Amino acid sequence: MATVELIDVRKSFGTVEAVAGVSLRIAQGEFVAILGPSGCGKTTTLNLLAGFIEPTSGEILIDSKPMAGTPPHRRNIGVVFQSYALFPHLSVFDNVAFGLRMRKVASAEIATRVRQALDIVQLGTLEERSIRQLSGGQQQRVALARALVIEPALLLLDEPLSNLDANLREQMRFEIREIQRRVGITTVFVTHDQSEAMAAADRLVIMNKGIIAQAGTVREIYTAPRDPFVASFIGQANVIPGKAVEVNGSQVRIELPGGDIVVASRLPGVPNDGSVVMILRPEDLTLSNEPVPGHNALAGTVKRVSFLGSTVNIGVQVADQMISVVAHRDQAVPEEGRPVYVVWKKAAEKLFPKP
Amino acid sequence: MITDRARRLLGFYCALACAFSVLPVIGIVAESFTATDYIVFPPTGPSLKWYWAILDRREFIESAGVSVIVACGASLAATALGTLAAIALVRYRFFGRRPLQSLFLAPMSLPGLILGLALLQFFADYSLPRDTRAMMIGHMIITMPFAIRFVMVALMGVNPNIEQAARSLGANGWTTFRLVTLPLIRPGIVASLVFTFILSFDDVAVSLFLSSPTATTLPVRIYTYIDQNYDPLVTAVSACVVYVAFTALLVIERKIGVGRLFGLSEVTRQTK
Repeated sequence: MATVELIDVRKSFGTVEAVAGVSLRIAQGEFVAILGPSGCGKTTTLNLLAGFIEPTSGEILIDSKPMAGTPPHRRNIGVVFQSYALFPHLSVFDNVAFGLRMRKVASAEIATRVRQALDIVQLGTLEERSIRQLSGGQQQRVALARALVIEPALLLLDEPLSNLDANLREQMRFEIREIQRRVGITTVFVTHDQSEAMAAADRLVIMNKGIIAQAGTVREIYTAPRDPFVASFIGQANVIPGKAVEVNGSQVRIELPGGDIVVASRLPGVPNDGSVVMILRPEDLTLSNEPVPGHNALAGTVKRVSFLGSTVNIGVQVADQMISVVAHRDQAVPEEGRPVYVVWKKAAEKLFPKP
Repeated sequence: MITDRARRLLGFYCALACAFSVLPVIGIVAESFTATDYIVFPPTGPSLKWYWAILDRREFIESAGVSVIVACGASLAATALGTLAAIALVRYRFFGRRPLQSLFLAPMSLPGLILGLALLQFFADYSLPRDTRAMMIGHMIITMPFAIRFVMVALMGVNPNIEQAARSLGANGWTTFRLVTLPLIRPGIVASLVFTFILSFDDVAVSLFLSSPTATTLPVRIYTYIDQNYDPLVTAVSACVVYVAFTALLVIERKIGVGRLFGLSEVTRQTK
C-alpha cells in the first residue's frame, strides 16, 4: 500500500516524445484510471511505473523512494497485462505461486495464500488446471490473483479487460473494483474505455499526446471539463463552433454558423470576441415545439430517432450540424422530419476558446 | 476439403518422397553384407566379414570418435552462443541490429569449401594447430546460423509480456531466463542441438580442410578411403552409423516422442 508520485516525467523513443511531462500524485489505496486515446502515452506511463523502461527525465517515487535505476523485480509491484501473460508451462497454482516463490515464502504459507487469492477471484476449484484449458475470463482472474497474492505496494493494470466479451467486461470491472476496495492496494488502471474507467476509479487522469489533459474525480471531469478534448472524450458531447460577438455583464452572445444567437455564461479564459467552441451534453438538451423562456433554443429538424433501450437518442439537424439529444424512453419524441427546437437551461453549456 | 482420393494420392506421393530419401541408405546397408571384395548391388552372401574388417582398421573407429566429440562440442557451443545471440536479436533494440543479424547468419550463404579454406588460412596465420578443437570451432561457425535461427523462431513465439510478468513478480534476468524463457523455448533449443550435431557430423567440406593426421572426422576418412580403395569396408562403416542413428531415434521416440521433442503438442498428436 504505497503512495506514488510522478514528477515531470518524460520519455522519448528516438525523436518521438511518448510522455511529455507528466506530474501526478496518487494517494495510498487510491484507484486511479489513466484514460486516453491510442498513442496518448498511457501505456508508456504504466511501463515507466513498472520499471520496464526508464524515463528520459523526471522522477518516479513509490512510497517516497526514488525508483530511478530500480529494476521491476525490486519494485514490489503487481502487473496485469492485456494479454494476461500467464506462464503457459505452469499450472494455475504454480502461476499464482510464482511471485511468492521469488520471495522465498515457505511452502505451507504459499499454499494458503495461493488458495486465498484464488478464492478472492472466485477460481478456488481450478488450482491444478493447466493454463491452456482456461477461458479468457478465467485466465484474466488468474492473472489478477497472481498479481494480488504477493501483496504488492502498487497494482498496475494495462487494459486488462480489452480481450473479454462485453458482458464479462462489465462484470469484471465492478469485481476488480470490489477486490481493490477490499484489499486496499494503490491501483493504476490504464484503459481507452471511458465507461470502464468511470465505473471503477476514484480518480480519472485523462491523457492526450503525452500529457495529462485533466485529472480529477469522475464527476469533476464530467461536469467541469477543462477543454473540448476532455469534454468530448468523457461522456457524449455536441461540439458547436461559434463566434463571440457581444459581452453583457456575466453573459456573452455567441453567433453560431447557422446565424442563431445564443447567450452563454462568460467563463474566465474565454475571449470576449473571436472564435469559441461550445459543448452541449446530449442529456442536458430537451426538445420543444416552441422556444422556452429563460432557455437557449436552436431551431432544427428531427433527422434520426434511435431507441437504445433505456434512452432514446435523437439527431436534430441545426444549420449544417447534427446535434444529439438524449431523452428517457418514456418521453414523447417527435417523428423524423418534424421541425423542433433544441432547448437547454442557461449555463448548461460549456464554453471554450477555440483550440 | 481434401477428397479421399486426393488424400490417398497425397499419401502415395509422401511415401514416394520418403522412399526416395531412404532408399540410398537401405542400399548401402544392404551392400555392407556382401561377401564380395568389391562394392556390388545386389550384394552376395550375406556375410559379416566387412564388419569384422572394421576392427582391423582402428582409424575408422578413431575417426568415429573424433566426429562424435567434435559434433558434441560444436553442437553445444553453437546452441549456447546461438541462444544468447537469438535473445539479443529478438528481445533487444540496438543500433546495428539488422546488420549484425545478417553477419551472424552469413556462414549459411557461403560454400563450405570457401569457409574451410578461409579457416585453414586463419589457423595457419596464427600458428594454431589443426586439432579437434580447431575442428570444433570450424563446425561451430558453420552450424551457428542454424542454431540462431531455431532459437529465434522459438523465442518469437513467446509473448514478451510473459518475461515482463516474471520480472514484475520478483525474478531477475537470470531467474526469468531459467524458469520462464528456457522451458518455453526448449523445442527450439532441442532442434538446434540435434540439427547442429547432424550438420557437424555430416560435414565434409570444412572438415576436409581442417583435418590432420591427429584429427580426422569420419566423413573425411571415408572420403579419402574411397579415393584409393574399392572394397565394401566403407559400406559397413556407414551402416554402423545408420544403426546408431536409428537406435537413438527409437529410444527418443519411446521415451519422449520425437514429435514432442520438437514442440508438437499433445493435441496435435491426438488428431493424427
